Amino acid sequence: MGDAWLGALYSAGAVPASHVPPGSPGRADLEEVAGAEAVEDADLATYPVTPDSAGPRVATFLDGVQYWKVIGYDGVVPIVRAHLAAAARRRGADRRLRTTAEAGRALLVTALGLVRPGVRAALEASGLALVDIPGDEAGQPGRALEAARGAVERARVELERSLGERVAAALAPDEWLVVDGLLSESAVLAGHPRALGVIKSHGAQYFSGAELERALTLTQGRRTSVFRPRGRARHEVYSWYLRLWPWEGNDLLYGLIRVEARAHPDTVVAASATAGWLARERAPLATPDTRWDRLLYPIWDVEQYLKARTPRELRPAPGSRLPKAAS
Amino acid sequence: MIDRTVASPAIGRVVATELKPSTPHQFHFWTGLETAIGIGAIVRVGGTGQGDGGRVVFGVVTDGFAYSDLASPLHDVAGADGDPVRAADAPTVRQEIRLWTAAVLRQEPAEPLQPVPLAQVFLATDTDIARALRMDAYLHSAQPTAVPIGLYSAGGLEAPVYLDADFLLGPEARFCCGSVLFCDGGSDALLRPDTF
Repeated sequence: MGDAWLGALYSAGAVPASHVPPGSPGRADLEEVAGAEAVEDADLATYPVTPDSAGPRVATFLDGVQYWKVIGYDGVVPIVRAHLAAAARRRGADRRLRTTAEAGRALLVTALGLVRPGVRAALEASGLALVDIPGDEAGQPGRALEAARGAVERARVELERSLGERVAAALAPDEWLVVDGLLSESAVLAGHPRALGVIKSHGAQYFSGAELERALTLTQGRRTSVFRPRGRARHEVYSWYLRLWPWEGNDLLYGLIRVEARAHPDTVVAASATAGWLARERAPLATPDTRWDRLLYPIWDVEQYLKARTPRELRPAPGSRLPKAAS
Repeated sequence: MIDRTVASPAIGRVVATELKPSTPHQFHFWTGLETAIGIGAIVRVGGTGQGDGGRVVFGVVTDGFAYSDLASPLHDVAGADGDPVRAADAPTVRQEIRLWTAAVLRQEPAEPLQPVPLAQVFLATDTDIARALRMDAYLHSAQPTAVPIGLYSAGGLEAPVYLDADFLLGPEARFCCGSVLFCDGGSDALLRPDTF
């Protein structure tokens, strides 16, 4: 039905808007105090990764994106339109990535209880999935936007999880699945023997004191002991830190990723070889992305694929929002 | 033998940017990495009604480009720690493009002459070659006057090419002096090429 519903929405009293909040494409970083349970060593240690570890012959990489934009206000209640998408791209013997599975959703997010009946009717007639923000979270526009961001993010995580489980179920016997983000969001992925989660944002810390220092000052080409993350993890996984690039001269988190894998003794046995494989994935560089030090190229490639298929009107404007001066 | 009279699936798509726009006379298209397209190949754009507005364009490939998503050559060096051998060992091959430039041979309809639509690209069939080289007028007229003179071979294509007998016998061909044009007996010319 296209965007005809937008006309009805604005006719019903909603004021048109066009605002992509900062950081819209990415995932909000969560500051959390978590904990860890020792698995490989009683005291967190570091190990060299297996050099030039070949990795699996076939690997599939999965990532998702979220784009959202305020398309109008009813009074001071923002109306958000969101596009969610996830894709899996398989790398075979020819070392090229090809899309094997993808999923997408379009959402409208607002506080349905606070908008006028006419606006609500226009939203319901849009044909897009409606997500309601509780009225007490939407009294102030700033809070409403944060609530919308959370709703969009939860929907994206769910989309990635469902696609990841579908892909995992169809993996060939020698094929691995590498997911951007937490593996522990899904019981299926957390228990899969050939699934890995690669986490590049470190809002949650699992150690303190000397162990934290050991983890965050890893030198290039080394990993930490395998541990069991506590706190946010919904399903049991094993994890370890891995340094892809030297952090000295940059920042503690520069080139640092955290890997999640199945909570199984085999994960510990294979940790150095798996880490060696992931260390090889640092080339090709995922530039010009600013996160290239922690972003594996195949994951970036999935992002680029999804970005290319995102509706243009939801992508952030590349330049100033000021009107251009007439020549 | 490939049946060149039957349209094959699209082999590319016309793309245009501010720096490389489509014009009425030139366009750019990408293909898969494995393609029969090469310099001199004749292609057809549009004709499917999908994004072409019904316009059909025939073009001949005049140039080709290949590049990857590498932002800077320095990034390839950094990713391989300065070792060209390691660069070739990277687990993933970067995304690459084959981008071609083509010169317009013919547009249908001829008027109004407009920029080439951003539509699908097909390898030309024998029928397309006839239209692209404007041979259809004397090839498919009530009394065809087409004289076969050889094959157009490019981009994996071998399409018959014809001249118009009326043209050859008419005043427009008055400059074709001192030549013997064989309408038949081509093998004679092949066997004794220096005799003519």
